[in-house]
Amino acid sequence: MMSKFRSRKERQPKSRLVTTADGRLLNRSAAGYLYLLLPVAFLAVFLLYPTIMAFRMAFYEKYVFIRQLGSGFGLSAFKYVLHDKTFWLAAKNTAILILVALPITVILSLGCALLINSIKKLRGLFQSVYFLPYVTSTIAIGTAFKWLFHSEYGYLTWFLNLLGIESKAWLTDSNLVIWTLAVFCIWNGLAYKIILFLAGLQKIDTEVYKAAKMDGASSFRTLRKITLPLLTPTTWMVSIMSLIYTAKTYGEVYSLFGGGSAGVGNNAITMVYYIYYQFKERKMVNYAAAAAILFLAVILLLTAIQRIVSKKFTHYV
Amino acid sequence: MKRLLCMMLALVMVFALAACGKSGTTEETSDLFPTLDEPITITFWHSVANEDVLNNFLEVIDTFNNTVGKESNVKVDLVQYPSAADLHTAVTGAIMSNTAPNIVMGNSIYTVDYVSADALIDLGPYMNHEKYGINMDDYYPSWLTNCNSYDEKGTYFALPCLCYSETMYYNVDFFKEHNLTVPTTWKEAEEVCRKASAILGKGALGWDNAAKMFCTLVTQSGVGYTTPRGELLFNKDLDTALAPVKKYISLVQEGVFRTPGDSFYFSGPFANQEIPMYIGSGVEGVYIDMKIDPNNKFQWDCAPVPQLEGGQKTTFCESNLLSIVNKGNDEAAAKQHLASWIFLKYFESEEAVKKMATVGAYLPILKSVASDPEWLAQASPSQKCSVTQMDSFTPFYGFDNGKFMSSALYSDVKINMESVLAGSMQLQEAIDSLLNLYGN
Amino acid sequence: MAKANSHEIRVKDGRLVALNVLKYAILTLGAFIMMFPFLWMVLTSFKSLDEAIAIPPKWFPSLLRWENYQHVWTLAPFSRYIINTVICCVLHVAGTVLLSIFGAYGFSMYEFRGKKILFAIFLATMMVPGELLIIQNYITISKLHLIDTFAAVVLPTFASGFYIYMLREHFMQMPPALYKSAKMDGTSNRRFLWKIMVPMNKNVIATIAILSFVSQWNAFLWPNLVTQTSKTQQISTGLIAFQSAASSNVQYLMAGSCIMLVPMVLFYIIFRKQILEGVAGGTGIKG
Repeated sequence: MMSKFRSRKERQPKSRLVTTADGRLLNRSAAGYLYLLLPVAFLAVFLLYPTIMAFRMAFYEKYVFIRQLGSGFGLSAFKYVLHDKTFWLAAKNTAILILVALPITVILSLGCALLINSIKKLRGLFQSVYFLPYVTSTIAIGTAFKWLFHSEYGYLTWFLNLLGIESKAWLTDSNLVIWTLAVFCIWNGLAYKIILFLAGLQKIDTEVYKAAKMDGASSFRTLRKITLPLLTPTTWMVSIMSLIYTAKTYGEVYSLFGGGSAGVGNNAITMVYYIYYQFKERKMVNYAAAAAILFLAVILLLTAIQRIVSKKFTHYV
Repeated sequence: MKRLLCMMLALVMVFALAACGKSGTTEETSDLFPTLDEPITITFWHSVANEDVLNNFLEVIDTFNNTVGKESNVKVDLVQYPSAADLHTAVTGAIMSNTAPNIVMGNSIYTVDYVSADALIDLGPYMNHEKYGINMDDYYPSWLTNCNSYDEKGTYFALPCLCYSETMYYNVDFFKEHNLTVPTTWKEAEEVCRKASAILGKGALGWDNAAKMFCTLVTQSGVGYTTPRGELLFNKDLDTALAPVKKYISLVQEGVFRTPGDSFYFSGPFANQEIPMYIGSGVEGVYIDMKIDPNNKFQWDCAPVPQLEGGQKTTFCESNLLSIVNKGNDEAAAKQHLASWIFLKYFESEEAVKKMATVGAYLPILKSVASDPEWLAQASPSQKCSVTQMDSFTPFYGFDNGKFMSSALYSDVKINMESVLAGSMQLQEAIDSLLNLYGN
Repeated sequence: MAKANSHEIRVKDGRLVALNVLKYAILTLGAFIMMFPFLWMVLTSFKSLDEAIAIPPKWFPSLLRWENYQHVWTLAPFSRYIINTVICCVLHVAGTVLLSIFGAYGFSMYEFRGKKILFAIFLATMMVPGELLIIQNYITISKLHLIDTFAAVVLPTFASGFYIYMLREHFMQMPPALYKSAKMDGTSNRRFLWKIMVPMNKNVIATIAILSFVSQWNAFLWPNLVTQTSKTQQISTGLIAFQSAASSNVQYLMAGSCIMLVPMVLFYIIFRKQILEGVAGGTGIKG
């Protein structure tokens, strides 16, 4: 077999095949570098280099951005950020979004994807409708939600009044704004994840379903024992992408509360909003960079944990 | 391999020569007014977005290119950026990569940035030149304050263009109907609003921008907000400075005044007759007519911002500034600077200023235009009202005092004041936190 | 056997129908929740400014003001902007899809020195907030004299690990037996990629195409910065004209946003079939 292999591929780079723990076959070859050449090149020029330049600013006590000159090399920017109560508020808010809003969004979108995938008629219509939020302009969404949450005229208020519940100042009460933001983020994150789940769902071989049906499995059983396990790679992939996306929440804050502040007293501030606030409004670029580095470290840690956990629970075919 | 090395060596030498060659041909010159014998094109990056203002703006540029520009061999090329913030980002990047345009538009915060990078030229020699100079006496002094407050010497780094101020909008019909007079002081405002809020059931006066409320009131108290170079003033006498602020906040809490709340801005509620008067930016005036329901029309007008009895007459204003970018010290650069100045001189002339102050809400920066009957005849309510107040205008100073920039202080004042007005923070707490960050 | 089956089917019929009705009901309710800002956007685009900002909010315009669309269209060279945006989106999608395929294949099919670190770097850069990098990228593009070109708009967008990560996960889900049998047949890695991997993951690649098309279509931060003339300016630039510092003409903004929607919806409809198709018909391997 090996001789047949070699004789047909004079021009191919010498490859050695390696088997991984989960049974996949990999090539130990320099061709890997070739495939990654272009992606790495773009990454290096437009992501890595600017990131290093940006992070460099974090190590100065004072940094004048336009001159690219810093003075006072040291960790004072980090010290400032770690003592800033707005930073911790941003951390807390981002944690709320990740621990509360994110799982809800993932579960809801998984549910919607499963539902859409399971119906026979009008599947395309529903898929398009559930995709609409992704193509609607953020300003339209922001305005619509501002009307929804308006404490006097909002539809939420009207609905709650129907139920006899008193409405609150969703947009201006400093204790509530983070929850208003969370609801908005849940809504906003659905469309993207539904599409990703649908793509993963449609990859599952229909033969598997046919076989299950022939074995007499109920649809609920099929869901639990076959669909969901087969979907775990997609689920974990969506979770990691969503973790990063949710951690970077900024646009939602901006469109819900207008520019200038993240809700009254910055109470709905998120990590990335804090970074941009230091960078653009306060022009303290070194604080922004320090916060960004801290943020990156934490998210990397979370992602690493998530990947370890997911490896245990992912079923590859 | 040898050949490759030789080629590379040759290439390196060629580049080195080219690099040396470039610096060899430039000569430093001290002649700021060379003859422009060849046509020269200058680039002007701006962020004028409003339809009507943009149309006028383009007409002014066209007129220049076809008249004064043609005679002086100068042509202006425009690049439009969608917003001032985008423009600032682009100019910053351009300055850092040596691809900056000739003329930039910005406000005081952005100009501070450019000055700190030594990117702007001193306009002084041009302003005072016998041939190319301009009449500085025709300007209202308040508009010039943001042009030369960037260093100790008072160097002019910019000239004003699109300027506006705060003004008070009020519902004429409402006032007539309930026999109320438009307040000119805060005491009168309190009286009027007590009556009006009783009628309406909620606050009758509001201020769009909480930061401007704070800054205006501490300045009206006589103590002041900041110095041009970035020293805090209001903490020099907190009791006097905060007295009117405390009063304003208590009136909001009482329900006599109010905050925009969930509406974020007052122009909507004002157009819907929810509030009979509010203090906001003069440029909004052009939109109010469009926002009023045609079935529910009412008469409205502008009045000066209420003043503090016995205090310092103050209304805050803001201006867009035009600056000329420093292109170097050689003759080619001097030509570009002069060409840019020739355009700037035209833009600051009576003819251009009058055009820019028409059909819009920007204010005429020249006394000659403001008193021109033709201009007055077509002026909008906010323009007419502001023109009578131009002597009391105070700008926000743009500064970088080595510890923080003016934008940082302003942004934190805004956030803290909004919190206090919303009732989620005490004023003392807010002031303490501000002084903690910014007090010297 | 047949008798038991038909009996089961008859009993299940009632439950099946009820379940189906429930499914459609939930989906329809969800559809309204998902659609309401979109409905708001479309309806507001036909209103006058006072209707758009009325308190209490008005849903329906008193009459359909098509002149809003006319006004928006004549204000800026929108036909040119649309062409520019289409060009940039096509370039972006082509580049992103290609680079994702290469990157995903490189990471999923090959083992080489530094692979883990490289992947970690890709993942890490996904977490850096974009606005911090924008000025440096502007400087880079400026120094390359690419300001006001389509390349400027599109090139930095290729620096992304998101879709490489996503596609890699899907590549890794391919049954190993497939690759093993292909190797035994003597297929080169390159042929395996283009003849088997890509066609089998068509739906995922179509998803990447749609998602990246939409994100590029709506992009405004970066294009606003690097485009200067109508030669390259995008639709998003034209729309910001309706938002001045003091106030905004909401109805024009919505009309402009609706105009922006149309090509996206078209693109989506074309590619939707690809997503829905999936792997129906078997993979060629049983069991």
